[in-house]
Amino acid sequence: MRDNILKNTFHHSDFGDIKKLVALKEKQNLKISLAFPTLNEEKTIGKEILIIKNELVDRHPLLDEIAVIDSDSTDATREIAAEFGANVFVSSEILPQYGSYRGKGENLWKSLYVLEGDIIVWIDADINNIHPKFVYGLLGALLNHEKLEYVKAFYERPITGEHGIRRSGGGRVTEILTRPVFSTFFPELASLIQPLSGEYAGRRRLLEKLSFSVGYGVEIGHLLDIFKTRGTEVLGQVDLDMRIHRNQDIRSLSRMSFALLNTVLKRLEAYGKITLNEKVNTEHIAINVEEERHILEKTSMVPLERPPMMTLEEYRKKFKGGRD
Amino acid sequence: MHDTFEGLYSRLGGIRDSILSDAIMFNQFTSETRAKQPEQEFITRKLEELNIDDYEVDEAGNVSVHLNTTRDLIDKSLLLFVQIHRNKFSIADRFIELSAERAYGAGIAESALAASVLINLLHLLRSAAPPLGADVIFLFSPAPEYEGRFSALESFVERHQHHLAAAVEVNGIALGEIGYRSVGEYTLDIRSRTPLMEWSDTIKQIDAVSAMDVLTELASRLKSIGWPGKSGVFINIANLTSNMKLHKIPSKAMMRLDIMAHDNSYLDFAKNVVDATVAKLSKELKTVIEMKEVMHIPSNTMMENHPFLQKAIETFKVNNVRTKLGLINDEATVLLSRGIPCISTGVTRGEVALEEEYIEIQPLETGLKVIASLIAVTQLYMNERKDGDPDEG
Repeated sequence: MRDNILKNTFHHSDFGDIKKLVALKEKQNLKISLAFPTLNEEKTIGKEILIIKNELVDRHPLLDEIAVIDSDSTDATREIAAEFGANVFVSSEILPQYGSYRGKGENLWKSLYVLEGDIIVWIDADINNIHPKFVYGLLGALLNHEKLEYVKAFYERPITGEHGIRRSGGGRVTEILTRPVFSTFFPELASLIQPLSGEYAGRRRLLEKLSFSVGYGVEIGHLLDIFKTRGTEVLGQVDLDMRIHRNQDIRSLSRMSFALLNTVLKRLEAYGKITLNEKVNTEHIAINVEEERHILEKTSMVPLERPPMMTLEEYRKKFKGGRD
Repeated sequence: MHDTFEGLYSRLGGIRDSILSDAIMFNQFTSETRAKQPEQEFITRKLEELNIDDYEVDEAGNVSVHLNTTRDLIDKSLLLFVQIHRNKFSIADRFIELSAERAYGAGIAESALAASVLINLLHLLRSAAPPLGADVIFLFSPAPEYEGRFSALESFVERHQHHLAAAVEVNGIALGEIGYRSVGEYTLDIRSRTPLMEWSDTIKQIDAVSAMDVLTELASRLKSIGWPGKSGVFINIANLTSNMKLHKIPSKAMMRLDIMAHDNSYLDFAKNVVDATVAKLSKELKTVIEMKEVMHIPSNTMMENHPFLQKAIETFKVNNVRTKLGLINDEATVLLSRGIPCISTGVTRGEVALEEEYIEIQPLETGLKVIASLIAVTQLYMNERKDGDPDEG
């Protein structure tokens, strides 16, 4: 039998006729929202909003709203985003009664409350070669295939640095941690080409039932929970050709892997796949070399998760008229 | 018609974001695609997206759209054109950064912005209801850096010259600078070859010279010539290079030289002087110096009191843009030499430097208004010509 995810794998050019996508959206009577989670992204956020808004709001009304959910940036991210036409929200000011954490997953979770769309698209705000295909590619899969609920992007990821752009397999954390973990415990998910990509779209009716890791674990947590509750039939992926962004240093990737591992372990235990005999450590340990001495640098990374938005009374009141 | 143009002016601010967006995409697309003519592909794709399907692409690579033109010999048109230069920067250098005031990045201030302005202005004029009645040909003309630099524009103008009443070249960042005369220019490649030498040879033969010595001596002599002040002659050493690595004595060297003057008689006079200096030096040093003409652009100009130029200056004044008359891009000589009045102007301000290239966003709306006003006044100019205005120069 053919792998479900590979069966649901597309190329953005399959959906290049934007007028047709707008017609499908209207026929299905859907509202579509796009949100950028941001933290100090003044270098790229302006052009991302400008290009997407110009092509997919003004020229072709595929999107109904574009929002920025910001984690208290200290640069001009919010001002630039507003200048080019995005609705700007400060994450900590959304549902303040539930407190606030700094993290991408937190921003995505809170975006569900402020956005109006039946379909939500999330795009990272650090893309240098932004193009409307990043949005219509993902939406094309959802609008053309009603059974799909959650669609991820994949692409070539050359790395930019001092010496220009060099090819990379892309997704070092994916190849070193995520795919081996999937291969071991969830082989059905191993055919996701870039499970950690920051560009994905989903239907609200699914997203509102998912819990959200506050930090780096949000993407892998989603995939594991969707797989557990709905299987792989509802998952799709779209080839966006190439994504150029700034390179993260190995220390950041190590912290990211640590957060992912915590999220995976939590799911494995919850799903009854493994039993942990003691609590796992929540401090990431890095080693620094200072004056020829090795120094341990510990960073507290307590895995925090937000509950499914559906469980919040405020949310149900806003979107379901108070119904469960 | 005047009222309709007034309506158009009020909608110009609304295309600011489209212009910026398309300019950024142009810069990016032309580096990512493997198309042979990426600039042309971007422009034609964008026109199709905007339902402007009646564009024409000729053999020289010109993309043109005729707006409201009857192609009747009596009804003449304004040619609104951009020169599309190939962006030579790497993909990593071309990503644009956008602040609220400026767009930064290599390539943005030149072809990317100008092409985007033309596309969006065309779209706006096309969607005007009722149609404005302006006769305008929009042209995107490819311009290689040297060889064949004029051929595309020349072939287009050759075919359409009887329809052209005037021309405006849109460039990126020279808002307020009205180019109306082109500088005359010769570009020469000068090569020197000398026998291979080691350091010890220079002891045995003290008057031995390397290929580089020959060309630096030539450059020095050319730069020390006292040209008449009013001639505007300038000798530009654009490049000087040899075949050798450090600590080796070069046996081959090449110099690219531009001779510039704003008058053709002085240009030819300067060219003769360079020829004679090369011949004399060759004889003195008993060495062969080869010279190849890469490009020759005769100088051309419009009279400063030409009615089209005067109307253009007035247009800038009306829009509160301080003007400065100056040089037009070399390519405009193709039009000026055929007696077609031609000016160039930018649409915003900014800078193109090695370290930083940027455009300012805020003046863009004024720049667009100037271009739209130029279209309107050119209609008046053309109507006056049709009516046999005695002002005609």
